[in-house]
Amino acid sequence: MLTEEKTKNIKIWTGNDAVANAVRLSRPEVIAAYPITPSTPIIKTISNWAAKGEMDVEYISVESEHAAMAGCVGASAAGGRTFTATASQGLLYMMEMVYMAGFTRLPMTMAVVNRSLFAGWNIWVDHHDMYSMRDAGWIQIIAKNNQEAHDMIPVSFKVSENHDVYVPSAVNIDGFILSHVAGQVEPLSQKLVDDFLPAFDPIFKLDPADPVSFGSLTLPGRYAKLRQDHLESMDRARKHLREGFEEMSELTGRNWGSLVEIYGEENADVGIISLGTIAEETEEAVDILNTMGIGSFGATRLRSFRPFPFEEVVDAARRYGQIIVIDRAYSMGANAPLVTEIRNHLQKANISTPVKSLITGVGGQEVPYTLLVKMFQEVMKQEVA
Amino acid sequence: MTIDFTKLHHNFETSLTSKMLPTIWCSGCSLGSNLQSIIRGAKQAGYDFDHDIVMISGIGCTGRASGYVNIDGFHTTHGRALPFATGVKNGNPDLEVIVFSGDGDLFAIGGNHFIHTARRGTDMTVICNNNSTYGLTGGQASATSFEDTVTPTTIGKNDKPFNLVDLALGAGATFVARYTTAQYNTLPRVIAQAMRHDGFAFIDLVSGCPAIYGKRNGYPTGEYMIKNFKEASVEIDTSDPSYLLSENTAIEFDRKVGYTKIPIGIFRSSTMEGKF
Ligand SMILES: Cc1ncc(C[n+]2csc(CCOP(=O)(O)OP(=O)(O)O)c2C)c(N)n1
Ligand code: SF4
Ligand SMILES: [Mg+2]
Repeated sequence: MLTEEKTKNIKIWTGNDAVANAVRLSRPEVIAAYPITPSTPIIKTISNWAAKGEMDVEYISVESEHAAMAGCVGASAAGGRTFTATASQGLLYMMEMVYMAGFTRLPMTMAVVNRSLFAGWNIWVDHHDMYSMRDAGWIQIIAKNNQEAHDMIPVSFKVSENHDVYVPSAVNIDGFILSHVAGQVEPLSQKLVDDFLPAFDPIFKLDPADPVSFGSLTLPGRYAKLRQDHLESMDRARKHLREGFEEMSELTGRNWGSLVEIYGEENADVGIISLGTIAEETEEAVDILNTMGIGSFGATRLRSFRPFPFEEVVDAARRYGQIIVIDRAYSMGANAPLVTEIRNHLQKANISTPVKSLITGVGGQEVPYTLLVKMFQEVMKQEVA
Repeated sequence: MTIDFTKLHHNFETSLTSKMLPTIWCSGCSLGSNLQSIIRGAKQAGYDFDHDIVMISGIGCTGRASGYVNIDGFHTTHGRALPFATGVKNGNPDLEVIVFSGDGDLFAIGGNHFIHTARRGTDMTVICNNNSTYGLTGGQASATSFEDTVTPTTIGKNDKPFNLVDLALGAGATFVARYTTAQYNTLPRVIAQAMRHDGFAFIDLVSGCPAIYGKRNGYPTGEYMIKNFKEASVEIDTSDPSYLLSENTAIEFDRKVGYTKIPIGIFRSSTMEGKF
């Protein structure tokens, strides 16, 4: 065992390196992208490989994100495996096309390197950008570290292209905290990815030999049916994501569990639910809180936001005495996006576990575990109406 | 050595927002000198910085300028400076509107707005800090990067660049000029003329990004760049009508030595009415 450990091939990669390398292993055929901090290094690395012939891909250096996503829509409709990366304002600017990819049901993978939105100008992490595409009909996966970002890319391509699902998919990584900080990553091998990820087999594609037409006028009844069909496909995506994560765990020996990752005391008095890197910081905070004699603490991290892990959240609410949900974004005039989602579903499932809200870490505000320890204790005092 | 910036003086410090200084701009960059030329031009034209002018920019190294000058400004989103400026001008027609932005902002992500704002002839002065690259995001290829140059996103080759003078003339701009950072003495006069021009005025201000683009493509330092601009600049001869042909307005560039030909001058202005 020890010798095997020693021969492990470990790279020191930033989150952006980890994503770019996984994209290369996934053999996309078309990439159209426009630079924006903090996602630029992904496309810079990939365009370098493409230029040197180290990656067999059509790289299109387009004039904007709107053109990037429109190019991806076209490439996917033509039957190519497609990728792009963006962040923040870039995601907002391409949004018309993001919805088009989603509602037209065109498989592809996009890396979203999470960053705050204008105004004021701020380049650091929060989740306002991610939530902006919540209803665009995309799968949304969120990684907590560079290794997970690396491993999730092939899963994203696979589930997106699955005929039972067939929707585009975004892999989110926190800006700078992951995108620009180097850490240990054990690379997937080309063979592993080739065995895991079959070639893209489009259900429909622009092919003169077998004509199809995308985007024609759709009357109300059929339109509603299209959306209903999309909804059902996303419901099925839950199962396929679980299987994808599990298969990746088996192949790599890294436990990516399922749609959620549970940490600490499973049946704790207080359970913290969150997304992304703040969940890793929460693990540290949970360990400290568990030594303080103020009750037991645990954490559940969601790996997918769309489709939403309903069953896993219900399970968490049954396990925990009370829940604190961390949001890295606001919804002005209402409750924050993640806590709303959770309360809403628990109400539907008739579960009365108190759910409290903590909004923090926006615009790159630092949230070390020491601060989380204090904040959790404050939030526990919240009255839930 | 630590520098006490509060004790440093700048020729134009009353025109700058001192709490924003020092700028983020690299040493040797065109931007400091270009911003000074704009300030001098606006002063020459007789505008009162407290009442008459707004400066609007998009996003980029150039975009920062609107935050550095001591006049009302709006640092808008990437590519949207022109529609935003159109709104400002219509909202308060008394304002003199200057747009100072990058080649990426005005001609890549915002390119569509340029042709339409020029076509409508909205009264404003648009100065493009044309450094042929996306400076702020690390020197990627823009719509004016030269064909044989190397950038982080285009290693092998670039597509053909826009000739901004040609584009502005074609889109109907009624004042069109091109100068480089090196024409430091001429620029304020031309900028003042553009500001006083009643209609859509455009200046292709050929600039350099020595820190990133230049380093890879023939002009490694600011000093070399200025010499290069001076040597490559060729004053156009407006007495010969062929000066307006695309091949005579195009900039030429060689990756090994930098610029080899930059046609400069005023290509169109209201005083030349009827000549084209
Ligand atoms: C919608 C959007 N896409 C991308 C970016 C990232 N970005 C900021 S500045 C810039 C390019 C700037 O180039 P240019 O306009 O030529 O200005 P320069 O930095 O060269 O002065 C890019 C791509 C952004 N801020 N917003
Ligand atoms: S990166 Fe280039 S354009 Fe930006 S300040 Fe530095 S030299 Fe100027
Ligand atoms: Mg530029």
